[in-house]
Amino acid sequence: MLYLRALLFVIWGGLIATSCRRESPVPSAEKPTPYSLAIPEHFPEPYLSDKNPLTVEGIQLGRMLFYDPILSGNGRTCGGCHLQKLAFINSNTGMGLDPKLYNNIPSLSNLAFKKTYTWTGGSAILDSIPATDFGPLFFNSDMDTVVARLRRHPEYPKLFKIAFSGRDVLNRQEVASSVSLMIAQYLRTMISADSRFDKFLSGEIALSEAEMRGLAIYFSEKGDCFHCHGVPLFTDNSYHNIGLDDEFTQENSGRYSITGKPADMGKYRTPSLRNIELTAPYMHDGRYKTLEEAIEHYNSRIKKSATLDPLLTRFAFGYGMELTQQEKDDLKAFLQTLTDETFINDPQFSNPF
Amino acid sequence: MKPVLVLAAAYLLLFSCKKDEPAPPSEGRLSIEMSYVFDGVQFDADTMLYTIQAGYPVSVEHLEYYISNVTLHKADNSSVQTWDIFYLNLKENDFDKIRLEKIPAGDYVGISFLVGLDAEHNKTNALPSTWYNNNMAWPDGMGGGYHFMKLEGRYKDQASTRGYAVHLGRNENLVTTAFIPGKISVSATGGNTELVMDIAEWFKSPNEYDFKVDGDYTMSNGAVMKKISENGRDAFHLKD
Repeated sequence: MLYLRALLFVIWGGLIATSCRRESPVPSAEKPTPYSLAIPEHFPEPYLSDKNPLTVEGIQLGRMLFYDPILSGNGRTCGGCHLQKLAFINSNTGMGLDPKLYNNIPSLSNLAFKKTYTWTGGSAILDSIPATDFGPLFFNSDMDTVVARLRRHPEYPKLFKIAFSGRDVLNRQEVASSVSLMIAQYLRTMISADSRFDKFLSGEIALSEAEMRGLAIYFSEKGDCFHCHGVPLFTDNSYHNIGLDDEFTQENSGRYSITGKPADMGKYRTPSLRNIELTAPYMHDGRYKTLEEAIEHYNSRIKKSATLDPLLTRFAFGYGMELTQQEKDDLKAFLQTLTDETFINDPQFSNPF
Repeated sequence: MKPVLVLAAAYLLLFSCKKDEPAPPSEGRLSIEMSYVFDGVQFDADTMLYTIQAGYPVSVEHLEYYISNVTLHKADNSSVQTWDIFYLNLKENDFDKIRLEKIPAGDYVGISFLVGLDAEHNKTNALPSTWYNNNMAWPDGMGGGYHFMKLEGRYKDQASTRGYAVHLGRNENLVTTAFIPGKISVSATGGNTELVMDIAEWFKSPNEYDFKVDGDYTMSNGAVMKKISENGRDAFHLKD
């Protein structure tokens, strides 16, 4: 009986162990396999990188690195802060970031459809952005240690070699940029396009009466959200001053800090509203903690300045949008239809370990 | 002997026909560069240096629009019709030109076109889903299709400086320009010309636009959009 139990235990243990092991790719000739991004209907062409074309092996490597503490000096991972269930925003896990220097990090979804990055558009190259996380405030990595760890890992040397067509990039000079390139490939595959609103557009589902009333406010001159937050990206990827402030210093000068043009004072990039109910807080400095507060900003709190967007001045001079409580609730209900359950539960974006 | 003669005659006939064929007509690309003035004066965006006919100082901060169905007119009253749609944007260098391909070589005496999209194309998702076409979408609840033009900036009335958003859309407000005279020559190696939009014209001629009367936001006001549409007929000229 004891012998049988032991045997069963061994079998059970073996099943567990083998079921948890991730699949290793089949070693092939040392050239990565090209990967074509599936573009959702009505989405524009993505901005892809000639120097870092998407490959099966690159994306797989990027996913592993996204979730692997092997990169950091403090056990952190990208995925440990950029939580999938929150559409990959930085969940503000109390890292002690100075809010004056590090604005509210937006969701990492649909990055492939952005031409520039950050709230002020200061970065045009996605490929090099992940490398900034090696710094002391985030991963606090010692790069020699990272190289050593990657080199003695049972799988990474082989995977990097294939992804880089046989070149050995696991050295001090190239490791940071190489890791960054792989993570950037993975980030480009994070596409969110299957929210309830998307299903409504394709005729799969109906929305509730409240959601339809909210939709009517959103896509009309009443709420006028569509002009900047239009379909299908829910951003025009342009820069606007939406009246958050009426006095400007270095800390809230926005796009002006990049271009030096007075006409750009206080302008920030339109964020996407996809998954917006998951991605609190709101605005570039995270000043609004709830959707209600964000809606109320447009309703009654727009501040005048010389660069306030022309589309919003009529709300700053009169009595605002004059939304009733019912209308605010309806608008919030519509915004909640932009949550993409498929995306936040998609196994290909989950921790592979 | 005879069959050989017949064959020889046939051979000569075949090849002689080839020699007599006329040369194919030559055609080339016509490049039309867009430029902007305000009341005839060199224009700078974002500056409050201009005054519209109704007396308000204005700036222009944002201008994007479609030109389509360009017609090239000849002296004998015939014309060449094109059907392409062009997106243009005051502030985007990539969108400051119209390129008409395979235009028959020759001399033209003028041009006319639509500002906006014809009814066949002014439908939701009729245009390719580029970032700029997506940004120009006109909500389905307001008729669907696309904005023909977005013209935005600031104006001063006595009390304050406010923003305006002159947006044009809906089939009934499609702008068909008048005949715009100008000499355009196209050869097999192409042709070039410059089309000038006088932004002040959108606010006058034949209809004076007055912010106090017409408001500063046009999308839901059919009567005001009609005024703008009529003003657009003579808002363009070809550079000498």
